[in-house]
Amino acid sequence: MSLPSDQLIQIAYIAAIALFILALKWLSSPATARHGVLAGEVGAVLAVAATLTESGVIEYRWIAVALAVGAAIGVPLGLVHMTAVPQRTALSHAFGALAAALVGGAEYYARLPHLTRFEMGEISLEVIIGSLTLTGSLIAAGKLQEILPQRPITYRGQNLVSLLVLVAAVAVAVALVIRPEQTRLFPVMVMVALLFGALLVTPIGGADMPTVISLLNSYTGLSAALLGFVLNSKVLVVAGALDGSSGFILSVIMCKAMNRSFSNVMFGAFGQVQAAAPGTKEERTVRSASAEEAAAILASANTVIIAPGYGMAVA
Amino acid sequence: MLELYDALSKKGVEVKFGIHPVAGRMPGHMNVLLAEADIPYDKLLDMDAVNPEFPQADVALVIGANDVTNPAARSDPSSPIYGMPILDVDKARTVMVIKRSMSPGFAGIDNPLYYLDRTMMLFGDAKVFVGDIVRELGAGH
Repeated sequence: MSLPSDQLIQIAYIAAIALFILALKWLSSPATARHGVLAGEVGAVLAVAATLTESGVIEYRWIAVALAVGAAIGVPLGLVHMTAVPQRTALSHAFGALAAALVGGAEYYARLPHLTRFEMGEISLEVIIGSLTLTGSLIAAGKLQEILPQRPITYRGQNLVSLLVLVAAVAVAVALVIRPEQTRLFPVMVMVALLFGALLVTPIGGADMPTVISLLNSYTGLSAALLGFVLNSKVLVVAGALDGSSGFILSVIMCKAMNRSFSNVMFGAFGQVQAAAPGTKEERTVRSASAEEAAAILASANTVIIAPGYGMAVA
Repeated sequence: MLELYDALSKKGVEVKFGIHPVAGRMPGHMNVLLAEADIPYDKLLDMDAVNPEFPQADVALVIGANDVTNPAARSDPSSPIYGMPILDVDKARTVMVIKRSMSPGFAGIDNPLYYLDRTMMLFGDAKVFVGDIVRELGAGH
């Protein structure tokens, strides 16, 4: 071989990164979206293949098992109906976040005696974001699938309680950075972060879930990028950064489309307000019509604009 | 959906689709859904492009959309969605709304659009109702 395999792997990573960027570019227009999806897929396969050929891999049997399990879960997920895509996306984020949190945990226990404080900081941050994204995404998916109530669940002082939980998670993380050998603290940090993820999403109404999901998407990207630093993997850093920023941009676009600020979505408990005005429920007249009448009017019209919504998609 | 589009086009009716950025729950989600139903891309208009066209439109047909067509977002400062950009379907000469019932939508807000004199409520399952309209359009031939 003319090139050492290490260099080949690096080239494959760069190609994968380029494909990811092209994928995002192509996805921005319906005409090229199919190319975009393909580019993303090829990029991902390339990155996985390159990682598998790296010299650090000792045992392929478990990797094969993992691939089979992943495919067994992933294929049915990919076949869901288009209308179920938001909750399916949320589930994907949950899996991504779970993977990031697990790898972070594994790195912590594997490197424990020689962990520098900087590495510990990276791992802590990554595991916290991964854990909160896991529970947050699961709750988001549950709300969209209407397994959980869509209405925001709120109580007094909720934001304060959530904030305190987050502070607790950060405090445990700081303690771990100062004394990484305190192994008992690590599961505590994970538990607190998991709790925070759930608290973060439960007060948000079903109508805002898509915004939350794309925000969680950006969290997944962020934790993947951090994981890239921990594992020293450039391709993971870049892919995570792309994922993180695109998810964030998407959330901002959706907030604009609803004329709401970001903090309003996250802390406003939107969707519980309607109970406030029951007095106006007077008997206003509604004109209803049959299909024949509707067809007659439609047939004599010159221009018709159809405004489709989620209800049409379901039907 | 495509059948309705075809049936109307055959009668010389110009049909367009006005797509709100968050229609179908995620940006672009509705475009994909309509594209899967083989509706031509150039008939899909963004909210900004389609809003100036509503005053000239004879009929605005709202199918399964609610909050994104709620005029309270323009007029009622006490409405929780006040200020949210909407599709100005209420400016069309006739508004038809296909809806299962009077129950509020995703955001749980009452919609004054349904009480306008110009509005016809078409109660029923969207798929069944669109099918009925298509059949009636065919019968009128």
